[in-house]
Amino acid sequence: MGLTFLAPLFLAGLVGLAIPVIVHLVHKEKPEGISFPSLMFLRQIPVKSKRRQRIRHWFLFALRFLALALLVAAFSRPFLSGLSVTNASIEGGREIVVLLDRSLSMAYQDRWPRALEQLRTLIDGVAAEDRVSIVAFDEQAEVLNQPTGDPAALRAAMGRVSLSAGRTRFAVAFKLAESIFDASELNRREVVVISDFQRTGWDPNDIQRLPVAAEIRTVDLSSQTTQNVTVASVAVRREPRGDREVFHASARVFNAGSDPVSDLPVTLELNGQELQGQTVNVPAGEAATVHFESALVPDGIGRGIVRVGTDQLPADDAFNFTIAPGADVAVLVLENSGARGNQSLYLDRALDVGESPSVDVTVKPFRRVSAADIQQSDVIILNEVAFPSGQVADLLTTHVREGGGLLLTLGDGSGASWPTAASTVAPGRPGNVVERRLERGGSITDVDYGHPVFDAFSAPRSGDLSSAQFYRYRGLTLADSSQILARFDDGGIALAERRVGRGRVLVWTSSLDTYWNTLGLQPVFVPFVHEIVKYLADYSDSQSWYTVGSVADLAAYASRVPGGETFADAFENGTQVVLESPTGERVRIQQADEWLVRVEENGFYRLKTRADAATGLVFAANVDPVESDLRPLDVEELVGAVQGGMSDSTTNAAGVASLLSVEDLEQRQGMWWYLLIGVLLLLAAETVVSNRLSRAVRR
Amino acid sequence: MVRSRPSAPGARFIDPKILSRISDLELVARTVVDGFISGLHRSPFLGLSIDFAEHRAYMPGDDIRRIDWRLFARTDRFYVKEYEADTNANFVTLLDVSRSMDFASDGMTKLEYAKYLAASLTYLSSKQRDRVGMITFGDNIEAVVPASAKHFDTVLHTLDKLEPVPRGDFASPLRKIAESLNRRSIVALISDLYEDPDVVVEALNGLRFRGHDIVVFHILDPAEIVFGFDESGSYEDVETGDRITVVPDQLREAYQERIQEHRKTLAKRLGENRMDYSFHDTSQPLDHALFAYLSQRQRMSRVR
Repeated sequence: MGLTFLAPLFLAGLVGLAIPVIVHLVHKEKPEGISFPSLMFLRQIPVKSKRRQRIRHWFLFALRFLALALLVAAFSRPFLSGLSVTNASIEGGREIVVLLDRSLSMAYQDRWPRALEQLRTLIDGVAAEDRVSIVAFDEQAEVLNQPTGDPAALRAAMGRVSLSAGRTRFAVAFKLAESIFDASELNRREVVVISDFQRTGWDPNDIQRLPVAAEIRTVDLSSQTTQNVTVASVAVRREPRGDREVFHASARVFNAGSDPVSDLPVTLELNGQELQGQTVNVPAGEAATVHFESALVPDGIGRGIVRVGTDQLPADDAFNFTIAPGADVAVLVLENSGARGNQSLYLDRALDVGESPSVDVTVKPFRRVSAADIQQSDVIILNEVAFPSGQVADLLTTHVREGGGLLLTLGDGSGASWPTAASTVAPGRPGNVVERRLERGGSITDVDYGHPVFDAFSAPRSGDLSSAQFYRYRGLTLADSSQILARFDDGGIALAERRVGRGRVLVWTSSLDTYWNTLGLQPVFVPFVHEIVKYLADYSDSQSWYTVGSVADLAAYASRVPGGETFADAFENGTQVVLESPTGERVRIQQADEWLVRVEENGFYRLKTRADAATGLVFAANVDPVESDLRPLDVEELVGAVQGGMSDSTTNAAGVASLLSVEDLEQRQGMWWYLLIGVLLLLAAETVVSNRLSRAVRR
Repeated sequence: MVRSRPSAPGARFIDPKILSRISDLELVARTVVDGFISGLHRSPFLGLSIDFAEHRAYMPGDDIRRIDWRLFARTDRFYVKEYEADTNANFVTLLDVSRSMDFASDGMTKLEYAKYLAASLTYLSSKQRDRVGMITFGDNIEAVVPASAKHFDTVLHTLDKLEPVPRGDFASPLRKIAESLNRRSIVALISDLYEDPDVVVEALNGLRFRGHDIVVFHILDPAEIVFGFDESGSYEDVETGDRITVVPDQLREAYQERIQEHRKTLAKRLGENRMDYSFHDTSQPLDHALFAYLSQRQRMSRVR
């Protein structure tokens, strides 16, 4: 039972009441008084010359103050929120939502068994008319049972809950609790939070408030001092060494505990074998970086793990990553026999830079190209070569239709008259040479930055394509299904694209050396041709690991070929594609949107088809480093935020009172009447007392 | 139209505001007193404070060189001639230098006015070959210039260096002064007399009973008489630092009544005790003060 106010803002009037008193008590007269030789005669004059007033009659003062205070209280419309004014019908069952934290941090020491013990105790105390819902939450919340007062059903629900590797988020749990209350008809509502109350689990921006009437009880399993060291991240850098690749791994070890650690062993494992070990000292709350020696990149996908010691929270002591040989992109550059000496030089040199991807460039005269050359290449560049006819044209068309890339550059040698076979593949038909020399060259001004080729240049100061001058380009008559990606300042087409089958064809209407333009001399040239090749080869970087709770886009692996066919082909052909979690749980990917999978466990996931069950593709998952920070938050703060300051965690009475609206409750109690009567009585007493006092003074 | 000629500078009505700009006290005293004397030429009041030389019968032990042989020739009796120097009086100024004196509503402070008055009186006495001295006091005796015919400059120097001090018990320093003044003197007290008249009279009686001739100059600022302030607010006693909140319009009349009553009481009580009382406000010319004082002395001397 507690005193509540219907219009609590009126209580601010009490502050106003105190103001004159406070001013009187603290008021110091202004230092700059008027100097006068002597106050001897002024003091002799009664009343008109006066010292600062002092309170002479405290009793009278108290009477007046009390009267005004009661008046303010009356206007605030007080009522007793817990007063049992209603009949027995409003007594009854409670709607109880138990929020059970199952995040990774609950695995610390014996928190999880204690949490289950607390839950068990709570279930034992449930009355038959109560309705209890158990909500297990980490960064997602899940209702384990329908609201029930049956202890057996609740124990069964409790048996289904297990720890997860996710991070804590209280907001989602309270949100779910609110939705349960919304659907409930019971008026006594309670939320029981069983958690370690991690500070990182509550974001003050997560404004989630429960209905005023809900009471919140907390079971705090946190400990003030913790010991936990985690591998926050691992950086892997590959570099070629001879005909093989090596990788350098460096791990960032974070001490989230409250004590420093010294001589902590940190090991690097690859495919289950320990490669290297080091020790590290990490002060409390700080991080240290461990650099490992270089190691050979294994054939196939290697499973790397960096482990750090062992502590009370083992799940975050290992960091998983994958390492695989870099996938080369094979580029075949074809040029005419009488080509300029450095016609493909700039292109070759530019593509030779970089490892992600590593580009293998082969430059060949067009007349020597074979069917095998075309089939083994990811991207084919016809560098100022007229589109072929006959068998080569068919090979090119097939290459493109099956997902290959083709870049056509127009120059002197490409000519203006292409065979009809070109119309099935080329984004357009070449025209005459446009001379811009007299205008001192043109520039690229209109670029589709939304296209993947130009996406890397979309941010400010990320490569200026307009810096190159174009003295010549060849006109292009665009095919129907093509789109323009870049234009010159005179409106001419610079780059156009056409999709054919699963492949992509680009046409560049100027040379790729310095013959017709100065692009080859610009810094932007290298990333530009790389972006073109990556786009044409449909290359995408696959992540070394995912964080638990994030969504893995398996489409990046769809075009990989672990066995006989790609995953995409297997999926289309009806072959089962299965994702196997670290604990062995298998999920069959049945629909196209299921290429997006939520990562829920830490360890190594495997994507495979039934046909190649032994191999498959592997990706790693790690726990969110945020969850390793075990520092607790102020429970009162959390409860206050959730309840919006309307009550505190010790207030237990809101349930009963909530059956009536607060207005009804206040109206029924009508306490303000009594207060007003009290005011009148006090004022009457004040009149009597003050009259007597003034008479006494006159005498 | 005939216009009256303005008074010569330094003649009669010398404005205190103009005086306040003259820092040389001797010059001020000369200006005031010389103008005053020339204005009262052939005045019967001249030399009032000087006793005439007298003859007395020779007594054994007297220096025979002091026998007036001419008179012996006429009367055949030995008479000793009392020299003028012997009969000259001591003139001691008691100057109240408490902080309340350091107040001015406009122009000259009471203390400055008192300084000029003291300098003028000292100059006047010095011209009459009186021995001049001065004692300044606040809550205690501050400076003492013993009476001497040569101390006019010292008095002026002391006046020049005066600084206001806090006031304490009015009677205490006067009691000490009474004990230190052995020779009968004309004692001129210059003060604003913010004290109960009974206390003032009692303190001065200590001096009078030792044979001193007491003249009281009561100095007040015009603002202290009429209380012409308009601003309501906190008024601070410069002596004690006490403050009271005052609305001048509401108490002006009562204040004026009380200050008048104070003056009357002082005049009455001091008169009853054969002490001269002279009231001055700082807006009055100094020679008015001197004239008023000397007139009163003359009148009173006739009565006595």
